[in-house]
Amino acid sequence: MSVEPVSTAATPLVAVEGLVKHFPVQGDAYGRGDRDQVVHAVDGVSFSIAPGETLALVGESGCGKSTVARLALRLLDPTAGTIRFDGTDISRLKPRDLRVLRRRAQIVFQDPFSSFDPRRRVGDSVAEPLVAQGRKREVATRVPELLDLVGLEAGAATRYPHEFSGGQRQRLAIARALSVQPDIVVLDEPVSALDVSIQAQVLTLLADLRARFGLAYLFISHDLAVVRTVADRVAVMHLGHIVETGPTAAVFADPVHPYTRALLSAVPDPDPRVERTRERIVLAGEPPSPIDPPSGCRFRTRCALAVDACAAEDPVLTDRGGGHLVACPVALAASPARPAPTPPPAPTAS
Amino acid sequence: MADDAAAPSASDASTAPVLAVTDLVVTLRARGRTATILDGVSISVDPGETVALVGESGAGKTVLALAVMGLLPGGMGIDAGSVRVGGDELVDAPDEVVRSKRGGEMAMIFQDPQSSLHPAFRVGAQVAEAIRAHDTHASKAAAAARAVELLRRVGIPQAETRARDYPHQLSGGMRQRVMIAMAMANGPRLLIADEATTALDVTVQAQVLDVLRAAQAATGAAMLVVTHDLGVVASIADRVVVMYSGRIAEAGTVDAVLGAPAHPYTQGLLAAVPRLTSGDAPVQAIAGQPPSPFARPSGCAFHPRCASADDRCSTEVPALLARSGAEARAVACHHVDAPR
Repeated sequence: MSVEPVSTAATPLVAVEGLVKHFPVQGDAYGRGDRDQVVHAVDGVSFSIAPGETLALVGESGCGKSTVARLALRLLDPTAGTIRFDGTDISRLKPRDLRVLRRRAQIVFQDPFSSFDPRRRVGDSVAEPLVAQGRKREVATRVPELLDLVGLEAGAATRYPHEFSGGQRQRLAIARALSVQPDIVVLDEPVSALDVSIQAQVLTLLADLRARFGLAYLFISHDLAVVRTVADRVAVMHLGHIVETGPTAAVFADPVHPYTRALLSAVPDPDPRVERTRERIVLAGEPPSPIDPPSGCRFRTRCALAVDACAAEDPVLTDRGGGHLVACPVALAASPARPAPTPPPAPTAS
Repeated sequence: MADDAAAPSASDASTAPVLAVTDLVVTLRARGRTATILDGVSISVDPGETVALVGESGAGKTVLALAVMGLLPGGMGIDAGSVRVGGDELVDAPDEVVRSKRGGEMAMIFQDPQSSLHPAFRVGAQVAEAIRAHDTHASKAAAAARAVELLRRVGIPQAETRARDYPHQLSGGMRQRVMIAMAMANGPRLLIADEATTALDVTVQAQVLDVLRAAQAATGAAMLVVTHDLGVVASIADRVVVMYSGRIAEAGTVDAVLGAPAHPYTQGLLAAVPRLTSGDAPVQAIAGQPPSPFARPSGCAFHPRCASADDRCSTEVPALLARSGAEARAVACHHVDAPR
């Protein structure tokens, strides 16, 4: 059941290095307020995604996960850092040079109600990326194929968005994303707005499509249980930083960072027997402001393990074996690496 | 006289259900069409007990909560059945009777505290107003002091200072605590929480569930929790009522219903929930989607999505029947043996 460690793949499809995004603070409605302040939405995030791999970015509201997704697709411009797509640095490309990226990387948003033009037939919306890529001739054959692919009838093409349920609209959004045969799809909270039985349908569809086309996914979610079922690797974000990342099985079975542990322990389980015996770590206080984050480790103000050094130094992600990286020297010292079930991948000489 | 166990006596008042809904039918009339939103639903909640109402969008769980509160939206009305709160019938009761219960004997917390709080008033003043709405003898100063005390009890740090904040100055979790403080202001015997933690982050949800638990423990109120999250149900409820398309599919103790679900819909729902602890079993989807109340399938409303459905399921509405077993439960399914 173990997935091959992906870091052995030659060239990652997406490689993000030291990504930073600061948003200026707008001030209030009258333009008052400190204009020199910035929101530290993303502060030095690095990760890579191999072809065919699913990486999940997970965290609570305001942690910067959706901003990272938009930066990776250059829907936002980074303040600093590089984004490589299949080896090419795209972080400073001009919009017109991004056309190839737009074909190879697509996105599906959370809200299936606002991502379709209510006055257009859904067939036209699904075909939109094809048309934008100058492949209008393929539309007539591709649209029925795409609808079939996501489990909708071909007749759906001539209907309007309001005639579809939330789950069906999310299928349409997936069909639209797949129209140009991308290598990677960014999924930004794709199932959060759906009822649980429909959510399971869409998760199953995403797994099928991935197996069929070798798609890579960047899966953005606040839902740890969903992430566990879809991702090969997971990166836990907290206030603009990745605090822990690694193979999904390792991070969920053996979480090390105190934030990851608190997050996992806060998820209630539907099984009453599990729920009664679950270890719970309840965080005290409020999350700090991304405008004025704490010095050093940004979790230290709510952390039970915090020591003086945490305020002085920005913790770096450190490998504890098997590609499981943790940005907390205190927790790492207390939690020696377990022997890895498989030998760690040999570092590739470049 | 003493043998006459059937006759209600004054001593039963402490154990009689705080909320008793019986055979409630709610219909919606819109653009000349009529839909039955609740089709004969009965639930009861005892003092100190927490009952969870679960189901997917359109199951009717929020409508049930609003019907109890006398807050049904326009176009919806109660066609039949009874709603008793603290023994008093609220269906067809005069408005002032329902109003005197609402915010006093029964209170409700909504999903979105941002839109339930007035943006232009300080939160302490809003809690104080809730106190004075039912305790007309309380002075402004006394109500303000009690408001601060309530805010402190729901875990708001520096309650005196935060009472002077406006809603936008508080985080979502803090706003929901204010809503809980306001709901608890007049010591309600029935507290209804409608998706009260759904919009919150998971760590904040854990805090707010603790606050709800503590508020209930301190007052002995009956609590009705409306949620779609089965984890929240297992975390907070004693009993659970699973609704599907305006009817109850299964009801019983949390251990019975979530631990060993009997109705195919409950089973499907539990198999569809991704978990942190379920080994490597992938989620299993339920085919199809919940029906619109305007086009509810004949017979058992779940039959088009049910693997064990047969001819009888498409013609005959299954009754909600009690099943004997280790744990008390009732199931509305032709394929679950009664009694076991």
